[in-house]
Amino acid sequence: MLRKISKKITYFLGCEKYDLPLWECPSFLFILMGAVNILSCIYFYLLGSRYIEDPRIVALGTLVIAVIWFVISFSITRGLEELAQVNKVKEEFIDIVSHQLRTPLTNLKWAAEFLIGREESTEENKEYYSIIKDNSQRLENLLNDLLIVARLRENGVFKIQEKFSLNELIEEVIRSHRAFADASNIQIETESLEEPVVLATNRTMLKTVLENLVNNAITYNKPQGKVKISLKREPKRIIIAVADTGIGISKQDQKYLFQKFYRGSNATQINTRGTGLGLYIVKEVVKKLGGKVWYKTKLGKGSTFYISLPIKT
Amino acid sequence: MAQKILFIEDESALQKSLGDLLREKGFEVISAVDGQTGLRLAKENLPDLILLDLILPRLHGLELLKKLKEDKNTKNIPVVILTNLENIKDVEKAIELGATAYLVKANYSLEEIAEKVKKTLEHES
Repeated sequence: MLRKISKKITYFLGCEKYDLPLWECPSFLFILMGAVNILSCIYFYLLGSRYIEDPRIVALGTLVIAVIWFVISFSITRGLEELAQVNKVKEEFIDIVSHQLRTPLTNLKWAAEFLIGREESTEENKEYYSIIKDNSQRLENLLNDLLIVARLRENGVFKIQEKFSLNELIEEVIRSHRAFADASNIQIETESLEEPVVLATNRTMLKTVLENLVNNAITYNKPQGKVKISLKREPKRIIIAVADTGIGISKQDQKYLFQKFYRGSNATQINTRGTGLGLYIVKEVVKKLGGKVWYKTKLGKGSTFYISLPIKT
Repeated sequence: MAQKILFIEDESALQKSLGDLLREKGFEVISAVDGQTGLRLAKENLPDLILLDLILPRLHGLELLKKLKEDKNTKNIPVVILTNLENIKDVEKAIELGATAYLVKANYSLEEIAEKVKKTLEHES
């Protein structure tokens, strides 16, 4: 019932063009402030008429309060309206970027993938097609990271939920990193994946989180190193651990580890390509999915990142 | 007999790569590069599955989906949305209109899409 009324008011005030809930809509806030203005004027008038003898002073005082309130409310709602408009333009921009930039990249990636799978392609050709595919994938990943960061403030994208097997998702992530792990001479192991775990959350976002963790575990590992992915089930949550035998994180870097664009000092020496967005995305996305992230690390020995996610029954 | 897939996509490069891969996997693929042609071909051919892009010339994918679900001959054909838009409104609208799945192209490889098509057809039959 309350939702129906709020929907009607939202429509009546034209708030839907900003795609904001009623209590954040500038026109609704303006009306609300107007109501507060009227109440404060009445209050001042009643109070004034009790203590001030001259009714002209009371009337003048009430008028001054009304004008001050009006100017303040007008400036605030005007500012909010501009912000809402900017936000709307930003969302439209993100939509355009996600479609117009990603489409040619998908074209490239799929065409290269198709050619790699052809029996007629020679080994040398396949090698070149792989370069095209890997680099379009790299650009696509970078674009995805930037889009996720831009969308973190929107709750909409996190509302997309589906039921899926976590075990299958982990295997999918491992599969997509197999070639990278083999080329880096890193072994990927799994533990306790036998018992199937079904989650109801945003699969794409969780996939991005796991991809970031597995990618880091391979990139910042040592030659002949290992990456181990394990699951632990608790009554109300599931814990996913991604452990590596890599370079570890220094005490100095740990303070800034989850900050946007921050890269560890030893990490930049190993890999110059990183953006410093991976762990920031991991932390923010897991938070949005209702979970937590933490880690254990030993410099020179390796790190383990843990994610806990609620199991909804 | 090969299962029939109608692939409605205005990007010729995607028509070529995914279309050819699905043909190699044994499907019969019918292609449409705009919404209106897609709707006509769906009614004429009654395919087993429709792969549908959203940003299409002449008729938007969501409009096309609505028309397909309104027609008694095409309403039971599973429609898989294949797009690079991942706006919550588009996803909700597509599911509300009766799309079987909503896949964001950038998140999948060609083989994964082919696998999803296969699984959807198995599930529907």
